[in-house]
Amino acid sequence: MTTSAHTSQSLWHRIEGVLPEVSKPARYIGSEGNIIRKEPSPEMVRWLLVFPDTYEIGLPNLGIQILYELLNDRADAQAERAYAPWTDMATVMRREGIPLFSVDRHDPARAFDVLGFTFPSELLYTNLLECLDLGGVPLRASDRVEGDPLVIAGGHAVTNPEPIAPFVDAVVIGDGEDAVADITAVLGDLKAAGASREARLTALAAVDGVYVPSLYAPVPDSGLEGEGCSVAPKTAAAPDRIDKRTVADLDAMPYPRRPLVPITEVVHDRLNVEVFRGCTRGCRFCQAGMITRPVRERDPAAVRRTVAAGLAASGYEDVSLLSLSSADYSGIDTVLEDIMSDHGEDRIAVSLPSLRVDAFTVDIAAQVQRVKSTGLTFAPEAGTWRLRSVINKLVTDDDLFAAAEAAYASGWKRMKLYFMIGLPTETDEDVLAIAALATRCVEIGRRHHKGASVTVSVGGFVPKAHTPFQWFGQDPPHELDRKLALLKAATRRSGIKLRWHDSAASTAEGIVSRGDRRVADVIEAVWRGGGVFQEWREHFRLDRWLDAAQACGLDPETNVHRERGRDEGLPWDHIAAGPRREFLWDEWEDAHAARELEDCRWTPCYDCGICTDYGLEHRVGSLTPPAGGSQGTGRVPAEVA
Amino acid sequence: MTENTTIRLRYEKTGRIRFVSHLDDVRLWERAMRRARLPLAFSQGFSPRPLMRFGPALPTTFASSAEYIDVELAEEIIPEDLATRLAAVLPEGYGVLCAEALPGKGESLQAAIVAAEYAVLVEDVSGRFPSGFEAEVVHALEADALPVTIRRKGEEKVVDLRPAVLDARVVPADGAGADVLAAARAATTALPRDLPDHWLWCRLASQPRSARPTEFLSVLPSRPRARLVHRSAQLVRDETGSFAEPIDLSLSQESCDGQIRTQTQGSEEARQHAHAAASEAG
Repeated sequence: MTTSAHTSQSLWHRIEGVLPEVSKPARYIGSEGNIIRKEPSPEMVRWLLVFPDTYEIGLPNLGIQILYELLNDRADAQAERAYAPWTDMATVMRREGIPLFSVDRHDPARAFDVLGFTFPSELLYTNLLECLDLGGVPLRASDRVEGDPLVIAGGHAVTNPEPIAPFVDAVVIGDGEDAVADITAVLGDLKAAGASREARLTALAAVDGVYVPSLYAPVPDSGLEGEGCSVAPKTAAAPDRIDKRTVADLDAMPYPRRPLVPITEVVHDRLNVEVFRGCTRGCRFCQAGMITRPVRERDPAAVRRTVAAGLAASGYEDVSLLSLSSADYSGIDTVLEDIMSDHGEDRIAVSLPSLRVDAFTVDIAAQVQRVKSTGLTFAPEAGTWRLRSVINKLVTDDDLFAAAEAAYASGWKRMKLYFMIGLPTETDEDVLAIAALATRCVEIGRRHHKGASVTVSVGGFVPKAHTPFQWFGQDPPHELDRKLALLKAATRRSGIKLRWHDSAASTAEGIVSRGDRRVADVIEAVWRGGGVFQEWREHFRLDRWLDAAQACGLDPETNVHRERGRDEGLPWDHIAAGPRREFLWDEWEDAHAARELEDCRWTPCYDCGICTDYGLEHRVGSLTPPAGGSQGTGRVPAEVA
Repeated sequence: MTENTTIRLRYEKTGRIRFVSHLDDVRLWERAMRRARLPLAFSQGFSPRPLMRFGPALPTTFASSAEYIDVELAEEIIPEDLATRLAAVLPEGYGVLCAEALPGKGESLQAAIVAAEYAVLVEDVSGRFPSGFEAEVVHALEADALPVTIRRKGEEKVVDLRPAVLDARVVPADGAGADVLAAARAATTALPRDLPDHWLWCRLASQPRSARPTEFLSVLPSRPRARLVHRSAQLVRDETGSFAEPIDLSLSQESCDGQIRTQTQGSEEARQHAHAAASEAG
């Protein structure tokens, strides 16, 4: 590649020429507020942090923003960002021979030492191939040679890394901050020494939390019918088990300091501040809750400082306090009051995107409401107490009604409720109870406002690795559609707006989420058939996935919809990202008996394996659960008649 | 309650930022004003918004050195201070050129601005300045009507562009206004290294709709392309009916960085066309 005279390798002069042709050109220009344009030097490890979906979805991603700041703060690293170009741009790039580029300096992907992809969900995997192909990087790790960048993946989805194992050189399991720092140090030394690709991979395998798939091979007969489902090390350099990384003290990672402020519209366009990581509510369907344990809270004073600094550096008008269940944060009242007293005059609004109904009180409603109305969403997940006991989402009907009362009385006119269908042991009564719950919420709302409404959002359940439901046989699409039809009929003329996710997408997600190494061929076939941006309705087609699965000899009946056995090998057995397998199996059995499990933040440890195996402990500010909670408080939940 | 102060800003938008849409501009300026800790005045009601009013939208991909915002502030502030504080927080490519306090709230920019001037780098399919271009421009100005197809709300519609073309001529690259183009060019690496000797200067009506220089190019027989469009002025009418700047440039020399040059010498013929356009609107 020839280098142009004025800048190092920047492709900007070529990109600018094609931007008038494409939709939303501001996606590709960078230029965000607080952008870091660090000059690279040969001894630095250069990271291209890639979010494999559109710029609008990827820019606010907190993981990318944290690593971007953290890496650029290091003297031995330089980091830039890239996002998957939309299809019109990809077409133009291929026509003009413009490779995947960073939005910071518009350098080509191949100028970087590491391409770091993050995967919040499995359907993004076809875009990994799209980005590699656009970047001029061989799709399969085995085809890469000296001089090709290393491809490293992270994120919740890759806690089952096998479906993308052939495409990546390494996978980071768990929190990225420390792992990325360790990888940088290791690669920096090897770069200086001019080490071979093989030597770099071997060194990466020795870094805690890093999985190097090429050092492992499928174990014959570990799955059904002679399938090689599990994998095992091929060499002594590879550990038998890869343990996840956990940042024990989040206050030691005070990021983001200077959040990126986009110059065009993006989702979650506000100051995002993490208040705690991890959740021990113990919902049995929830992968995030299982793999991010234990609970690690930030000090309220540190949150206050981060909010103040972030607002000053960004000019944002909204703050979002992020976690898996923000009302569980023991410092929530303090932090809300502090933010309001510091910034209330500047018309700053606060949102709490993940609220549990049993922790939502009039006090919190009043604080959040004080400046500006924001959306209010609750996730009861299932229609009956019985089924909520099965999935261990221990909120009662009365918790929900009390939250609805608090919300409508405080001025909200709409609330949104999330439910799943296709859960283990689910009956038609459980499905119909969703409509009954929502109808009751509408009635409560109408006592306060004539036009009060409830939006019910329903998704088909997809079982995930490292959860008690990892053995469950997922509902086939026709069964999900039948249950959805029941719900549609029951919510007619009720003041309920029903929204649902495509059952076909749940099936495709199911093929990948608990897939083994053979699923890589399916992903590649879907991509070759044009299946990019699979989370976008206009690009998703289930027949592409089913045809590809058939061509690769994978039967969804066996791999997705069949209940797995206790002693069966699982493709992620070598990855320790969540509680011990024995604990998960006990939970799977308890689920069938509708036996509930309390939150271990506020009750004695039940030894799931996270704290005990890794020498960790919860970091919480209070040993009492938040007000109104039915879980761990000893209150007897009301049975549903 | 004390009266709010209204300050009118003239700003530039050059370089890669020209790919940002007008809607994005609005959000971006609101954030910049917050970062600058300006004493913004807010609207009343459930969802208070800062009181900011923008002039006519600049199409995405156009650069400009003549965009306007009226912003209401709850406290008095020296206009130059405001410009300095904003300069420190604006994303690259944006710059405050002038700031001026208005008596009262001032007339709405959307209603007051009647015309805009553009500098256009024109090229043919081979990337060169089109031969015979000047004759095509002269010929177009002599026409009684210039029908052009525009898209509005997803539907195609034919309108007569002629009344909206107040003036147009080919100008040498080293002539008046060239420095405006040079500023835009400096931030635009896609331009050919050897720039053409000539470019199109035009003044188009902003009422009843904002005519675009690209529409003017589309009525010319050889259909040349616009490599870069730079809006160099927007004009209102003063008490005498003459074109005037929406901001008093003589008063605010201190905060103008000297980049602003304007072309206000319109022909009598162009003026008549502007009147025709205005009466058509009424």
